[in-house]
Amino acid sequence: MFGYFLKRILVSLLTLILVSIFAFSIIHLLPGDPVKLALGEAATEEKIAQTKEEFGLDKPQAVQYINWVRNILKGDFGRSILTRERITDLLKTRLPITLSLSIPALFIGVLTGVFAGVVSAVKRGTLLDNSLAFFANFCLGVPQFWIAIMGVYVLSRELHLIPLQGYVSPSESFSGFVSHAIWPVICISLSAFAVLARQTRSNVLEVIQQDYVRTARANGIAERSVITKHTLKNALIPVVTLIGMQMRVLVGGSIIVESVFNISGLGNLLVRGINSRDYFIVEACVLVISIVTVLANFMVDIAYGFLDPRIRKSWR
Amino acid sequence: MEKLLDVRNLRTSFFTSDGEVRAVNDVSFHVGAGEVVAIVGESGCGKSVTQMSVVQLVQSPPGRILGGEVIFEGEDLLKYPRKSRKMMSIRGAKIAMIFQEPMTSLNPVLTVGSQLSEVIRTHTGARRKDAWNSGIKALESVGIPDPERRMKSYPFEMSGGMRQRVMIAIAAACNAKLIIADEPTTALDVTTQAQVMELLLSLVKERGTSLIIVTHNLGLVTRYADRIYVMYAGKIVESGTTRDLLTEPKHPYTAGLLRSVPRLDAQKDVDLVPIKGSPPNLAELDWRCAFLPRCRCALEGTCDKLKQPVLAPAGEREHFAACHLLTEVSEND
Repeated sequence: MFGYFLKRILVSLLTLILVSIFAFSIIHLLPGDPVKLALGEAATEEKIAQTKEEFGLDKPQAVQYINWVRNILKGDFGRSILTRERITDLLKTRLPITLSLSIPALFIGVLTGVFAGVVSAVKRGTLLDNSLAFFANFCLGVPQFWIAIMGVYVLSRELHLIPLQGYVSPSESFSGFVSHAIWPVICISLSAFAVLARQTRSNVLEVIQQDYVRTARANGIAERSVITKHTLKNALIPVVTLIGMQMRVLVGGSIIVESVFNISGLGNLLVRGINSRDYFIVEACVLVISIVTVLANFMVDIAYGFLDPRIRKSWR
Repeated sequence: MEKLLDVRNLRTSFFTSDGEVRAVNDVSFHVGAGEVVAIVGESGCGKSVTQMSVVQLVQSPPGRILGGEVIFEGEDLLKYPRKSRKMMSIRGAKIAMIFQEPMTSLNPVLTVGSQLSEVIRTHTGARRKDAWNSGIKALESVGIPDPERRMKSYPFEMSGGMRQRVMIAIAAACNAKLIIADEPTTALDVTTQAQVMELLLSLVKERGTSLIIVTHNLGLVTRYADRIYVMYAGKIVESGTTRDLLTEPKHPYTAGLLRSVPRLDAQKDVDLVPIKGSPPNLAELDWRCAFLPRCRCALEGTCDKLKQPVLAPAGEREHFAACHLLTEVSEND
């Protein structure tokens, strides 16, 4: 089991290194010069060269990369070229905001999605099943920003149920947090809901046909246990993979929702960084998102073991 | 002998895009207490669907039980809805089933013990700990060594024969009155086959359990069954005691089956004769005898002119066969 985890950790680290190199290279290939953008049109050549030196942008790219990594290992993500804010501080304030939206969204999306999928499968072919399928396809087909804006229009402008936009931290006022966050959270959770509902439905339908489910029924096991114990534990194994993939979407994928509701989370920071070619901000955001992804996949691998004894036993 | 299970005129069809597939077409059979009965036939002749209909586990849709009676311990089970409490309390407790594929018939992600003890808890209301202990005893009774440890094993850690023993242990744990074994040994090697069959037989002897063996393996049933029903194209075409059927088969299909399997007691140089052709499509059944296209004995002018034959007495000891040669020809002789 130790060997298995060691292997997973090494693979995760390798992935992170590759992603960081990739993120670093891509942003430097983009046209536009952050220093010129930061200093404005009137900046002198001398001033530009000086600023570049300050940020180490005059050095070869390989050296820049190594310096960047070295600083991150010390906990320093560098400074914004545009505003000279410390990026470590920016991440510290913004990551919690994004997580306070995406973690509840993930929970809601996963729970409702799996539940809807199971109900659809058990009630296959009924009006309920068809309605759920329609709703899931609607969530997948309609752009997130449209749902977000329409919700704001109806819930906020017409019904005055929730504030128009903005964000209140839960430590400041919990009720304020809930009223501001409820619609953004729902919007983020919809894609997870839709993907999981569809996948769960088809998995459950497949597992229900299996011989061992027939055995359980032939043994007079109550239908509730046939579904929850005998079917779901098998059907959820592939769903766990999808949940892992959704975690990436939820951290990186809140970009649109954060823009619509004007919430200064990680997604907003990333958009700002890209627009101003603020190398270090973009790199930091991409790195954080990929760390979350790698961590999520690592947790998925462990969850597999809990769900599937065949995998757990092979760890030994 | 008192009839434990008496199935009368059972009809089950599958409604598919190709039309109605008459998988079980007016089938009647009975099983006495402590009796071993075999249902024999080719793949797709409806023998498994017949048994699944008895406990109302035919997949629906597309399957539907259209009519008939399944009288078990004096009560018609078909009067109870498939998901009723009554049916739940029959399945696994009074009528236990053992399926063909021991590899896939047990849940891969649950331990043997949890599957076994859940059945015990469901039917006896025993507490978790007690059910677990009964499970250990049940595993012991089917000859699984080290049952305490095996309770915590997963199916994938066991061999096919071992898993089939677990299936039997589940059936034995609740003292089922009737065990329906659907191709119980098909997936096993020959030595294990014999062990599994002996195990089932010992249940019959020791506890007076009745046993239905569904199989296409004639050799298997000749050793163990008291009576045999031969099924063809959704109907029973011949029934009788094992000895009568083996020595004096009256239906050409039964005779064909016997000629197509090697026998140790046969004289040397007797060639095996396969039955030509393949079973008919159950969605497009002819109005004539379903075996007609493959029959070696079919009489021109008789078999191709008459409707499907019905079961008629063909000998002593409740020997029946559904063949025109038996009824029409003997009358005209």
